[in-house]
Amino acid sequence: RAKYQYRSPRYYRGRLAPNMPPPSASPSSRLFIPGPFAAERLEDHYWNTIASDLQVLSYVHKQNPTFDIEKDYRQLTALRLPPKPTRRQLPALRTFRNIPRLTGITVHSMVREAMKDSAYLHAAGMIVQSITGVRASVHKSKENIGMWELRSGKSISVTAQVKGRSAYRFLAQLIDVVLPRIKDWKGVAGGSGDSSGNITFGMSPEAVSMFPEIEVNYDMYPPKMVPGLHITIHTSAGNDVDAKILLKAMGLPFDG
Amino acid sequence: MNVSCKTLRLRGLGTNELTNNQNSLPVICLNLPAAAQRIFDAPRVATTITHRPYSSAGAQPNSITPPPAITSPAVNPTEGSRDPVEAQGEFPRKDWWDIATGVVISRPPLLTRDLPEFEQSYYFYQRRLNDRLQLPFARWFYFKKGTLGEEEWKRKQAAEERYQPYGPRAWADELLKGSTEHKFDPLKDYEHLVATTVTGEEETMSIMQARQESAKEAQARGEEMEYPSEIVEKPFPRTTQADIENNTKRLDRKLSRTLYLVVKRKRDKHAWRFPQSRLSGKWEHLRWGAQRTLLEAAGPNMNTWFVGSAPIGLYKYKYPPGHAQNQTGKKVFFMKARILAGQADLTNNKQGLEDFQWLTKDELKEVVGNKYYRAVQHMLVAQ
Repeated sequence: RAKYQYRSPRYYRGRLAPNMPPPSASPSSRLFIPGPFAAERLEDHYWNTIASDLQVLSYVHKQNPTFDIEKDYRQLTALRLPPKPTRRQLPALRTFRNIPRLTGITVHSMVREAMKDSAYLHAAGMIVQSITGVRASVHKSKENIGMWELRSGKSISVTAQVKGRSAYRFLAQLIDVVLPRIKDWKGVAGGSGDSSGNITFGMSPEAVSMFPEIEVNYDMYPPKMVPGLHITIHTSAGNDVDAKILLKAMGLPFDG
Repeated sequence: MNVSCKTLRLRGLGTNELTNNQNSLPVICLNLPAAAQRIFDAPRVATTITHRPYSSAGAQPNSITPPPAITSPAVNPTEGSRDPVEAQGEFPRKDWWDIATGVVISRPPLLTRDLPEFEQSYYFYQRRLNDRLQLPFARWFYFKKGTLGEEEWKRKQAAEERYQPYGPRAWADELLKGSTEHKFDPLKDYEHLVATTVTGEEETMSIMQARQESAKEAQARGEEMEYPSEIVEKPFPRTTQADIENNTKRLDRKLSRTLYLVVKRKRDKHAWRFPQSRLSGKWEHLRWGAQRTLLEAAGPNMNTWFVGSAPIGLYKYKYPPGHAQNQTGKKVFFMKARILAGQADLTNNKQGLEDFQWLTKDELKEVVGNKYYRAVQHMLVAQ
């Protein structure tokens, strides 16, 4: 065809070069990613209803004791105690600036069969990509462990990170659509949490097939190649308890 | 998580013996640092203390209950009128304020918000950019030629009337003047949804079933056949009868906004307010006071949840001179509550209220005065 299609230059060749790449927010840039497509129900619900309630519920009249790195560390090391603070990581004061909120979600799938057949990892990558809408990244194994038949340097797992508005969308889909469909699902484990405000739970292959994106063309995936996954919900709370309170307010059930 | 619960034994009033069951009160599980936890350890040394045979006037002093007041006998500083001579001796402070609790009870939004025109246009623009920039849909990977699935997909695509980024009309990607393509219309969306998602097979099967059933019923009754109008259950519209009538007493008005309860007192000026009343009794705290206030003002027919024990706002005003003996003015602490079910009922209310309304933040602004609104506006959610 005779029609010329403009493409912006791939590399920045200096400020004196005539053909400059456009700013990344411009639609004609190679780095442009189209922005939000709709308002998000869970995000609006958080800002209108949940955030102010959480602020009131976690009000403290006097400042919480915080870990002073200089004073407390020296005291703890002098007593020969481990230097890691074991207290709950409370903020000094709960203000409108540090209310716990959802920052992102990581979907991770480690596929043991991919040691022998890489098709398993391809299927896992496709599934993670179709669930999240984000291109999955592959990770290689680091250790050689004979007991588990693990060799280093082999592509073994895929992850995808969802941030911002899409994270609220993904969480809302989980809570409203996918998790209610799982048979005899009791809830996220009550002891889940890494003391930094991140909650993780796993999903079996049967649960993964409950996603609408997978269910619609489940037959197209090779049999027995649909993997299970881990879903990690990252929040801006500094501790388990606040993270769980936030997720309970959003509707995620916990067991114990 | 590490939780340490300590069981305390408080010495009760007028008891001769300490028994494990009667006098031990389980305290709420507190995540306290070691320093604070030591305070609660002190009363456990109970076995070594002698028991007095007489009944004590008040609880023995320990760190939990406050020590009895040194200066005054049982006097309620929040009550207003008292003899000036007697009162001057009892009020050590120059300025004394009446403490009152107010209740900000709200019904949170039940629907997603109505998007303004600019926001709708912006989202439409981003969706259209996405259509243009994405790789084309790999149709033959998902739908094999000649299958029923392919037929259904083609029918649904035609019904959708979507912009085709890789077709002959790819150049016509802009929103035309006067077009409503970018706007969200719930009724149009419902029909569109049915046409583009319900498969032909299901549609025909369910229609046939429904027609057969209605035919049987009609034959049994001897009437003419009625055809069902809807294949898929239709959602309710976003505006209700209460919106059309603008009935401010109803809770199903303005479902996408937060509604707050205001009540009308029997006066000419400053009539509309949040329900409030002064704290009564010596030991009533803010949350109890707020619960009592709401019960007295709006009746028991509401399923409510009071959020936390901390107030969300303060309205402070001075009395005009000569209004009260010792109080300079009043401080109203507002407590947050949510209504889950029920309705306010002003019959037989003890506060002499005439009327109530459930209003959004901007409607409230017109009804309460400027000064009150300035004190109260930051507690309220605009949406």
